[in-house]
Parts: sequence; C-alpha cells; structure tokens
Amino acid sequence: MGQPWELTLAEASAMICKGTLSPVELTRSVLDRIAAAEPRVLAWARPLPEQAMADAERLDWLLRQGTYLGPLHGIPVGIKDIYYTAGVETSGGSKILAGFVPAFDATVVRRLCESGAILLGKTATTEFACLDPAPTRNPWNPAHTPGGSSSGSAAAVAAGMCPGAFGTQTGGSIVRPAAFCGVVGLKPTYGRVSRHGILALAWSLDHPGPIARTVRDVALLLGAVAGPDPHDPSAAAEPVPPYAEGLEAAPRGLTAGIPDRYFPERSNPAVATCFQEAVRVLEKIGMRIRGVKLPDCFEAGVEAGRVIMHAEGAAYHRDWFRSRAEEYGPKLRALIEAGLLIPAASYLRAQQVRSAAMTAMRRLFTEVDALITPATIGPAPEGLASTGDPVLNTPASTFGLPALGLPMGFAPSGLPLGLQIMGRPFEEATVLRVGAAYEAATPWHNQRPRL
Amino acid sequence: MSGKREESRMTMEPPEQVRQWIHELLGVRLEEDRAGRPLGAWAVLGPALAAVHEATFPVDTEPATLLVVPGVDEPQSQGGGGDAA
Repeated sequence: MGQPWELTLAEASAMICKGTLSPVELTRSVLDRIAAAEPRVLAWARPLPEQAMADAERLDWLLRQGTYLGPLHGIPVGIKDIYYTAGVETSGGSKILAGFVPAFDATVVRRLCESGAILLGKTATTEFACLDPAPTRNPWNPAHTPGGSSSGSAAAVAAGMCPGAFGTQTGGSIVRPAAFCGVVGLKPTYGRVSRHGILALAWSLDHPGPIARTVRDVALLLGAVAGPDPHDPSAAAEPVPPYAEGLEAAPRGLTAGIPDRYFPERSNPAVATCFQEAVRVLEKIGMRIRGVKLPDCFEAGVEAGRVIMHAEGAAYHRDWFRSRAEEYGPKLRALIEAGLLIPAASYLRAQQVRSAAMTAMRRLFTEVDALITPATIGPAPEGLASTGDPVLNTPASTFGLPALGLPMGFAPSGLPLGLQIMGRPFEEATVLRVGAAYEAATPWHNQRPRL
Repeated sequence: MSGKREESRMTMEPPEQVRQWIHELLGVRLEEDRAGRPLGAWAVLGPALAAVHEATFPVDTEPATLLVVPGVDEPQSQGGGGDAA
C-alpha cells in the first residue's frame, strides 16, 4: 500500500471497517497531502485541520467502543464553500458574504457528519457558484482552469487532498470540473438531494452532488445524503436504493442512446475520437448502442434554462445588488443585470418550454436506458479567466436528469477528457451501473496528476 | 404560433420601461453604470428569450414544477455582510 491519501474512498472505507486503517491515520495523511499540494492547486477556501483531527480522534474512539457508523466512518470530505457549515465561515467565494458564519449545517453536511464523515474544509468556488473564477488551478497543468463552479472540490479530489467532496451544478458545475480534472462527478436528479442550507444560484436548477475518484466512491457519498428533507420541499420522497450495491453487474441488456445532434457537432476532434472508443468499450461489455433523435423542442428547452438561470439568479441577488453592486464580479453582475430585465411572462414561458422539453425527454427514455455523450467539448482551456464551456452539461441540469461524468481518456496535451452518462429521473442506480462497468473496463481512473 | 416572430424581435432589446423600473427599484441606471455591459449580457440572453418565445408547445402546458423559492432560513434573512442582512 502507498500512503493513505492515495486510497480511493471505498478502499479507505474497507480498511477502516476492518481496523487496518484508523480515521486519525487517514486524516493525518490527507492533511500532509494538503500541506504538500495546496500551494500549487489552491483548492481550499478554508481548510479545517484542527477540527478535522478532533473529529478523527472522536471517530477513532467510537470505533474502539464498537460503534461503526457505516461506510463513511472516518472519511475526510471537502465541501464547496456554498454549503452552510455551522460555526464555519461560508462566503461562497464572494465579498458579499465575507465573514458570514451560518448557525446551522446544510442538510447534506449534517447527513455526512451523521454518517461518520469528517469535514476536512471548505473548497474554493467561483463567486456564488456562477462564472467569476476561483483561484484554483488544474492539478494536471496549473496553467489551465480546473473548471467550475465546483473548482476546489474537483481539484482537491484529483490532487489526492481528499477522497471525496461535494459540489453543486446549476449549468455544468459538477460534471465539467470533474471531466477537466480527471475524476468522477455525479449530478443527481433534481430533488434527489436536499438543497437546504446551500446558497442558491437558481433555485429550480441547483443540484448538490458528489465528486470522487471512482464511481463506487460517488455512489457511497450519494447514498449518505439522498432522500427527502422537511426543510426542502423540492427534495423528493422517492426511495433511496443502496447505490453502491450491484455495481459489479454487467450492463447487459441495457441500451445506450447516442444523440443525433447538439452534442456531436460541439465536440472537438480529440473528444470525438475518445468518445468513439468509449462507445466501442460499452458495446464490448454488453450494452446495446443506438442513435436517437432528440426531441424537436430540445434546443428551445436548453435556451429556456438560460432564461431561468438569469431570472432566478437576479431574483436571489436583488436585495444585495441594490446596495452593493460594485462588490460583485463582472460576470455575475452582468447575469444579474440582464436577469432583472426579464419580464415575468417570459420567465413563466421559459418554465413552460422547459416543462414541454422535460416531458419529451422522458418519452425518449422509454426507448433507451441511458444517453451517452462527451462530458465537455474539449479539455480544460488554458488560463484561469474562464471555467470552460458547460454547453454539454446544461441539458441534464435544465431537465433535471441524473448525469455522471467519468474519465474517458486524455487529449494530446495530456489533459483529461470525460464521458457523460445521463439517465431517467431518479435512476441514478442505472447510470452508476453503466459508469462502473465502463470504469472497470478502462484504465483512465487510475491515472493521477504528477504534483 | 402567429405573432411570435414579432414578439421575439421585441425581446432582443431590454424594454426602456423595464430599464426605468430597474432604475427606480434598485437605483441602478444600467446605461450609465455599466458602459454597455447590460446590453452585452442581453446579447446572450436575447436569443435565448427569442427561442423561448418562438417555441411551440401545447397551450395547456404547465410551467415546470421545479419552481421553489427560498425559505426563511436563506442568507438574506440570516445575515451576511453589511446591510444585506
């Protein structure tokens, strides 16, 4: 075995369960890794080493008393700095909320802690999870963006600074940074995970979700936090299956659809080549592959999402913006200003168009079990001013569909590329099963950046 | 959907009346403060609005039911910096 920080979440979990690794050993190891790698990556808004070690000692003590809280017992996690953390500053990468200390934990954070996870720190985010970038650099090449808005969460996992983390996606903020950083990200179905205690960008588009090194790891993280929440009326009462079970099952008999348009014409040649090879792998492991025609209203539905994001973002920030507009970054400021100009009738019409497109997409999923596409149009762009184009991720966000991003190879530049697997609402288990089978048949998830 | 073409053309520019409301409500005069940026953002949003207004769908389509507004525990009422509390 190498250092504990090199273990996947599931590997560390199994060792803690068997007693061959302690939460203190694991936490100390990832803190050492943070000390070594963080100056080059800048993934953390607020690391919490003392609190993390105190929690690790408490969880060690519980194990000695015979109390095991489950697969996340003693696992250190990073949390995007838009999740409320009781007693810990939550500034959302903004000047507006600098110094804001919530009095309670977001439901996701509370559930993680109840499951035995250790809050390792708050990860860097773009301003209010929008477009003005965090200082974070891509661990594969510090001259490139890690993507965003969950920049720190993806980069921290890729750099081995934590075995798992949580981000949020409104447009492409989980799957895109996961792809750019060569790790796995899951944007669950809208309503699968509570948004309570998470700063909003656009309420009806915001999705919390996990980022980790393997499909099994994100399945374990999702299982700990999914389910209804009396504090969030949009959190659905759909049953929460044991996501990490059955991942070894081959996806024989399942059908994956390849969209006829929108995705293919936007992918650059390196992405297209890797994607064709990914399709061949999926066929080889038993999936049926077929082309599918996206519904006619698909593009209009995606555009509706853009209108909704502007309008809801403007509504959320309106009161702060009234008196503190100059404290906003230029990209979020432009979004708010434009959003304030959207007539209510247009916003509601956008929600109607979205509704029609969602219905059509659900019909499409009577023909296939999953849709597969590249996760991004290319590798992480050079520079930190832009977090890259989320255009391939916004459909799943707008239509509320689960979407898994996982490594599918490398561009000639050496930067990672990602595969995106979308599924029916609340069928994360199917998406994870397909992803796990692809992962088991490919070497990409074992590659690590040299830091 | 007759009349949609004309409607979508209208959405390409922020209506002057709406600009005036923004000024009165927020004290922000977009043209003066932003030196063209609102129009730049609108150039992105305008086509999206146009697509939305040109889309056809059954007249009885309900707006997406994902619409959830923030509760009392959102940061506007929790605090934060300065007068945003």
